[in-house]
Amino acid sequence: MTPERWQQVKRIFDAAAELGPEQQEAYLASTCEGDPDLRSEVAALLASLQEAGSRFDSPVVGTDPMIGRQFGAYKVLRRLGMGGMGAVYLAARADEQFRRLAAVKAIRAELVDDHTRRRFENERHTLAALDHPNIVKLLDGGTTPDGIPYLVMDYVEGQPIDSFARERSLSINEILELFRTLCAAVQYAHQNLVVHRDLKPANILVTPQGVPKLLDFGIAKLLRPEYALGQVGFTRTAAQPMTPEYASPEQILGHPISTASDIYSLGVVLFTLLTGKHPFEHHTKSSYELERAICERPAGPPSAMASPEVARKLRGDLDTIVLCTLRKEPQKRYPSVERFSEDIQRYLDGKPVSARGGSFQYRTQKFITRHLPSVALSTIAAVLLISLGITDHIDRVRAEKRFADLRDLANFTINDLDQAMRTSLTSARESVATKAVAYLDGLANESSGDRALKLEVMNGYMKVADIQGNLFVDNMGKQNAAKETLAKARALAEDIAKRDPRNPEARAALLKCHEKLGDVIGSGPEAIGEFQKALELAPTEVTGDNVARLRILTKIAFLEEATDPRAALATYRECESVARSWLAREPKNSAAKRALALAQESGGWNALLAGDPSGAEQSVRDAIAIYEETAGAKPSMRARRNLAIAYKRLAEIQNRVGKTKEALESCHRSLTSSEALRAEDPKNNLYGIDVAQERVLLVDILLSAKNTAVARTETAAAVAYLKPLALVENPDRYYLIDYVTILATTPFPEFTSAEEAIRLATSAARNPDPETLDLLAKAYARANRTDEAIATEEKAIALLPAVTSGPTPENRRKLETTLAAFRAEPTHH
Amino acid sequence: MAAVYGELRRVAGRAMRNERPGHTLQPTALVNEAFVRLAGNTGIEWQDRAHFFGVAARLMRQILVDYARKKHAAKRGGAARVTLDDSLLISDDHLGDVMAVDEVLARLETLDARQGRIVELRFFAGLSVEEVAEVMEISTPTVKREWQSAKAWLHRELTTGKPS
Repeated sequence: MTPERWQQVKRIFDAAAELGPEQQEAYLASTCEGDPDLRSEVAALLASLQEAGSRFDSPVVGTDPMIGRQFGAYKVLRRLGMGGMGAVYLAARADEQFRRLAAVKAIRAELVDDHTRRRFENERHTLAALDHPNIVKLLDGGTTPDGIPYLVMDYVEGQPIDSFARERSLSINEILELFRTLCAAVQYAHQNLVVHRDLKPANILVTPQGVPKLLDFGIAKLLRPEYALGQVGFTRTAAQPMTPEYASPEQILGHPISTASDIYSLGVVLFTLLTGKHPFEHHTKSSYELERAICERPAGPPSAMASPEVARKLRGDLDTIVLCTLRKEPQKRYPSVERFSEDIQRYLDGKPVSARGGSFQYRTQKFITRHLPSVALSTIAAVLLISLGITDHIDRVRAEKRFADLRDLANFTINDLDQAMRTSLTSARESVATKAVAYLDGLANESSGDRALKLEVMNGYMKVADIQGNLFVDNMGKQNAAKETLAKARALAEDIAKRDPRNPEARAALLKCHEKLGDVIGSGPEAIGEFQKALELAPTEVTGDNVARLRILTKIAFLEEATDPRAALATYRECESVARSWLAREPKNSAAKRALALAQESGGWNALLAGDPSGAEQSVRDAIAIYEETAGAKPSMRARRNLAIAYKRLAEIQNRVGKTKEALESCHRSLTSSEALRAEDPKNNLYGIDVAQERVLLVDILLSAKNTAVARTETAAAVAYLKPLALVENPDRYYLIDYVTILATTPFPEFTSAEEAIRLATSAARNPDPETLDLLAKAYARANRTDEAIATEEKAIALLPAVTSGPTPENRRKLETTLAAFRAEPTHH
Repeated sequence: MAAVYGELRRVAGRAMRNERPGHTLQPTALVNEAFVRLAGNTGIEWQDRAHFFGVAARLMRQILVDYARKKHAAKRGGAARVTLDDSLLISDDHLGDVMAVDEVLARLETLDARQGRIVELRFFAGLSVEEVAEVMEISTPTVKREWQSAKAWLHRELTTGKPS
């Protein structure tokens, strides 16, 4: 037969096949007249079609022996889909009393060994306990007599969320509402200590009524522990690999998975819902490339991927919210799905979102690394545990002490409780904390006369308070609860101290209560007040074993520094004298020397802010002498950084008093040293920020020295250094501010960009402080937007503490001078 | 290999998602195997979806035929180990069909290449009539019509063994 002949045969066959048997005869007779071969060929094919029936219709890989099989009470009707773990079937209850439909997931037996099968059984019960309207319920599960593990879950008729959103052309607000419902379901699971691990549109179905249903919660972990190890999944030829598209960097890298991983995946889902594109759309040529992009490239804002009209709506808050979820480091993402969802709600309500918060983190980090090591050791330990999230280590803890067990608090010692609280999720912690307080309240009532029990209960309260209101972890809104708990601890401590005023244990306990209250309150006169009460209880003499006085004084000074340099100066001077007497008692103690130097240096800095530049210079010089003396032959990085910062402060002071030549020299020393540190540890932002600030300072000094040519070159160098650091997703606020400072204030027109400065400063000023607002005001002035400049500068000044007596502090004076200049010069350039 | 595999999966996912979002390629296990073949062929750049499915279906066909041959040999006492993914559920009555259809399909392809591809996509790659229409960018009635005559032809060839 020739191809032409076949086409002819087909034509007649097609037409004849539409007809009834009698008409076929007549049709063939007339059409094939004079060509009996053609006629018999077509007739044979028609007969063959009859005979073939549905042969070939079912694809060769479709006849599944599972059809008709029974899994528990459910009988399989047909296959719904096929995945790497096995197939999913539509099933109905076999007893026919219920006509309930269900989906049966039959797991390929070879994927499950005895160990995982046991775990499967354990975890299955946990998952079955998840009962939420937006989570597909696990109905049943088990292992068939021939060893096939299976899960039975509610059958949901719906479509994946991405196609639902597209087909219904949901608006951005509708998408966000739908997404928040989803978040609530994920949050619920997280509260029950279940991490999804495989959130993607295919696992998020939306019913025709618009109700989202989450599928396969925790299943990835349940069935494939190696799933978490990324690469391993890919080498299993039999298994379906993890779809990298929605996987977090830590999943790809095989690092511990936590609730933060779900937050990341949710972020990718939201990104694709809003833009129709994947955040790494341009890097999807291969899985490898995609994985690299996920781990290494910062995600761009969704607005950059969206159509112009959508982009307009995304720019700003939604960009910020989504990018906050897509950060590479899990601990930099939203601390909980709840917070993520709240921010979306805030956006919907037109309120400012909370996604930005780098400044505080940096401030505390700086505080901890630069101050006495004992300041917050226990706190750091808590931060580490909590910021690491629910890691595999914690999974182990969880396996042993599941959350349900915690409910029976009576069986728990306080230490167990502490451990459980430190290692569980925010909301779980909250709930444990509430129960723990009730438990401790009960104990406190029974403790009359029993001092040991009272002390134990008091310690319990303080630990709970740490969890409720620890400043160094996510604790928004829980300070009040922490304060209440600490007040209870304080009452107990006061009670103990009243009965036995000289008892050192009671004094120490009360001191701890006040200090923790100060920590929890965090800033302002109330916090300072608590620290001062703690100070009264601290031993007058500081020794290597007890640095309480110095630690508390430093905390007070640190808080005062933010608002009142003169008070801070006085407190640092007191630190100085305490450190001196410590040093007199223990002349060889290097911690004492460092404490003295730090007090001098910080005191010097505040002396400058308070308007005493010459005293400032001497104080910092004294500090430098000590740093150099203690640095030794092979100084540690911390010692070198202390020295670099001290020189920077010295340079700034010298510049302020007109000693530009000395200032230049100090600044160069500082910059050289910081650059060396940065080269040795390029990932540590602290060194990078030091370099940035020193470069900006160098330009300032050169300008004061009227050395315009070098100033211009150094400005170019500073811009080259800062631009790539400032113009990234979630830049460190300090880079951003330094960069904006140049754009808005440089005298060189080639580096000026008022518009960009306004844009960047506006985003930096989301959590306003006087410094950033001052910068924004200058940017407005540069753009000749004088009214806005004046208004912004006024706002900045309003944020400064009121001056009641004495000379105006330098920071206020500077701002007022700037404001006066704006007012005097309506066309300021 | 992992990269090629992922590529195949991803492109398969993408291709189906374009117009029919959320629809996943059904015989995933088959695609799983297809990557083994593609691994020796990493230079492939997919021109379009039809191209991808064309290549994928062809690979699936080869895999299935190999599998059927091995299994057939094993049944007759041969020692060949059948290594194919167990989730490929080929029933024994299909086993003969796989090899036979492969053979006669080669003849249909010389008569009508497009019809041959329809059979390949439908029978070996397991796409539905609608999916075939979508992938090949032809109408559903056309696929139905072509499928019907192909079926009649295949059945006759297989039962009578009559050469064309």
